[in-house]
Amino acid sequence: MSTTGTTGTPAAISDYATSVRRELGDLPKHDVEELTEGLDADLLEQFRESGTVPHESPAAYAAELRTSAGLAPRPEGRSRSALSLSASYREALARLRDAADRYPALRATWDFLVLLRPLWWVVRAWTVYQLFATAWGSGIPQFIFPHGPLTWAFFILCVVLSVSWSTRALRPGHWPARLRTVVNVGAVLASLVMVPSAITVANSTAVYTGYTSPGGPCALYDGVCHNGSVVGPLFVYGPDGARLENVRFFTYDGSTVPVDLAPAEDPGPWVAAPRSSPGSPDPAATPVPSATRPGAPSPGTSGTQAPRSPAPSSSVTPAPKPSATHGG
Amino acid sequence: MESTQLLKGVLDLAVLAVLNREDGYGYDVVRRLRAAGLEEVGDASVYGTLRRLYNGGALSSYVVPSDGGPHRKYYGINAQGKSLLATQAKGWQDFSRSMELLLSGAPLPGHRTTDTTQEAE
Repeated sequence: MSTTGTTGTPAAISDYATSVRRELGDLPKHDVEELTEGLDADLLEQFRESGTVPHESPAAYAAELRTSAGLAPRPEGRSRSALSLSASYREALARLRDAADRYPALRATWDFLVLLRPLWWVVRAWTVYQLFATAWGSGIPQFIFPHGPLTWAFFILCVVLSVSWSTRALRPGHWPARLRTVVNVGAVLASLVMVPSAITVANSTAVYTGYTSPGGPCALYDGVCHNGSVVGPLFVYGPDGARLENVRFFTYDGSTVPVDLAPAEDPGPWVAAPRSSPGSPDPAATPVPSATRPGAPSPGTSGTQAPRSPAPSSSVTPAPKPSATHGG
Repeated sequence: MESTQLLKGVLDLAVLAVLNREDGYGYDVVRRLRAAGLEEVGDASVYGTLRRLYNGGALSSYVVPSDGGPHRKYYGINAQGKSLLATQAKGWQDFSRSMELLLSGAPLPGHRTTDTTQEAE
């Protein structure tokens, strides 16, 4: 035999072992691994002694292997094309493992992916959690992670079930292989949808609804924040208690701060308090809740409010080079 | 008589007896069985038997890396395996004595020979 793999194993041996694993493809992965661990070494030693691979076909070899191991024989009448999806999946994994054995780089990648399996179990649990949370909520993901005792408890339950599923602690052995495959494939597809959508929607929802997470939305928002929350729309009043409109805010270096101002026709929850002395500004004047203002005129009527201040209060807006402007 | 059929019934015992002498990997066990005269033993049968005995708790296993080749999976007999070996060995010895007695033609103990000619008259 002239062709050898990178591990020094003749290609005939690798091919034979791969064929045997393929014939065992209808068995659970764990059984296949147990049955064929060390198979390559045994075949290689036999090959070095006799110069040939076993005389029986890989199918016969696999049948003898599984029978002597006390496993059920391969179902009759099932051609390769008729193999279940699960068996095809395991067969593909067997081929990948075999290829990984031949090439060290693939082997390292494979080992790394195996190490990440617990992470997948958590992602799968999170996907299930998101599906239920979305179904129970408004139809869109509101939070990336659980945000209360009940949701945390449900998420932890999902993690326990996900891990148990993969470790076969809770998974009944007689479950049809096709059902297990459908569950796993469904989880993968759902994850591909849920992960990006949850991150995107949750971020945008957090910004525009004032999600109060310190350093959260405000860290990404170029505007006015208060106590870690995005603030808006703003109702701006001058020192005389008059509503200011079309004001602009500037930073120390003169750059504009985008501010979401309430529309002029929106009276808001506050209206200007009456001045103590008509005609003269009252620095102590403050807005008061409209509900407590006796005899409040109809909202939005300019004549019922104090004259507009010529300039915003310095306590509200810094005085940068481009002076603050206000409209009439 | 097909020796392979006989072998199937005692393969567990044969494998346990081999490993009771010394730990071994799959093909090593096959080779020792063949050296003992069981030349028709199939390697896949032995590998499957090793796996079944291991799953049954009679064997322990460990992997030994191999330089320049695939690693080898060694099997060794444990306390449960030794107990199983003793039980099966006793059963085999009883069975073997019975077969030898039958094949020897000697009178069977506790069995009175009847004269079928006299009974017929």
